[in-house]
Amino acid sequence: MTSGVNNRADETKPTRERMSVAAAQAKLIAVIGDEDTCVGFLLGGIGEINKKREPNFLVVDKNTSVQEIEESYKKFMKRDDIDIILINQNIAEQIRHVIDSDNDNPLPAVLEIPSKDHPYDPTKDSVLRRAKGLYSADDMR
Amino acid sequence: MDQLIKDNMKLEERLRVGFFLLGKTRYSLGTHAVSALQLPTEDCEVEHLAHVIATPAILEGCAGDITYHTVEAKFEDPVVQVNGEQSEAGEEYNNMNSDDGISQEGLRKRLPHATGNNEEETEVCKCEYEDGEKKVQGSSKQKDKSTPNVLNRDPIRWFSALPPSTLRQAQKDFKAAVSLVTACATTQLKLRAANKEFRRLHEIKSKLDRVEKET
Repeated sequence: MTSGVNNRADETKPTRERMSVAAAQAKLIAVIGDEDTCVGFLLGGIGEINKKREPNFLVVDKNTSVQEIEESYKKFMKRDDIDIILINQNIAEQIRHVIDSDNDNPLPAVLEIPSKDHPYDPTKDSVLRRAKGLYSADDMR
Repeated sequence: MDQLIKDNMKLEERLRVGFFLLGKTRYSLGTHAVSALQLPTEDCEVEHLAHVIATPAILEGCAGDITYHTVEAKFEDPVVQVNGEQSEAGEEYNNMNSDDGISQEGLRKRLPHATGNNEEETEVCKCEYEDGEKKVQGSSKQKDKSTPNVLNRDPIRWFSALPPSTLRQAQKDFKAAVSLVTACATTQLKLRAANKEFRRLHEIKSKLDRVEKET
């Protein structure tokens, strides 16, 4: 009897609370960047290599091909334990077509960050470009 | 949008300081000491010490339930106690460190041989090295085999057994950068939710305009 009452109480629990309980799970930050960016963020403690030997970071140097970067990006997007992907903006330019095509899910969030040699340029950021493109002169009337 | 740009600028500033300190550390320790060569490879398992938690929230100031996710960073204590039988993580971590020739047991064994003030100094140094945790202070004095081992998973140890102050400061800066990253992510998700709602309302408006024109 008691358990039945409890079950009914759970069903009447607001959807948002149930959502918040399910959503409060620890997720990772992935990094695709140059040596300094990866070393820095891994020093901050975000690095992980799981039991399947899958790292959550990719160090991009002059020998890394665009295909490797694309594959790594797609793998990180598919993983359900990653909520944020950090990518240097100059590297994001190389796979812009892949980043712009992924619009469906808000998570994982893709953040374009500056590197040591390339400062942040808001005109190249995918999210800001998409937001600016929504507003035309007609909409302001 | 302005908020997102401001957050990104703050992040850039923090990263710039971090990169500068990494450069200074390379100057003192050597180029290869602070490089991708020291990062863990796919041969070993590494646990994260920083993770994020995304919780749904409602966009304020808009009619209707427009939900987005707020992202928050959490940092774990790098020092853990491993009881008696070592855990798999503990074994793997010790295997990683064995190549350095410096292990937890080796450090602990040095302490009993130190005399007088030196003993206190070595204990204090060990505490500072292991993030000044009181638990570590207690465990370093215990010499019984039955007491739990202390495992330090701090990634700063990948680069140096005795990290210089510039490397420690760089680590603090990058940890602050991780918090700024989560702030940027929250703002970005908010913007995305607002854009989606704007597009939906814009479509409704265009349909209504078309119906008006037809009538």
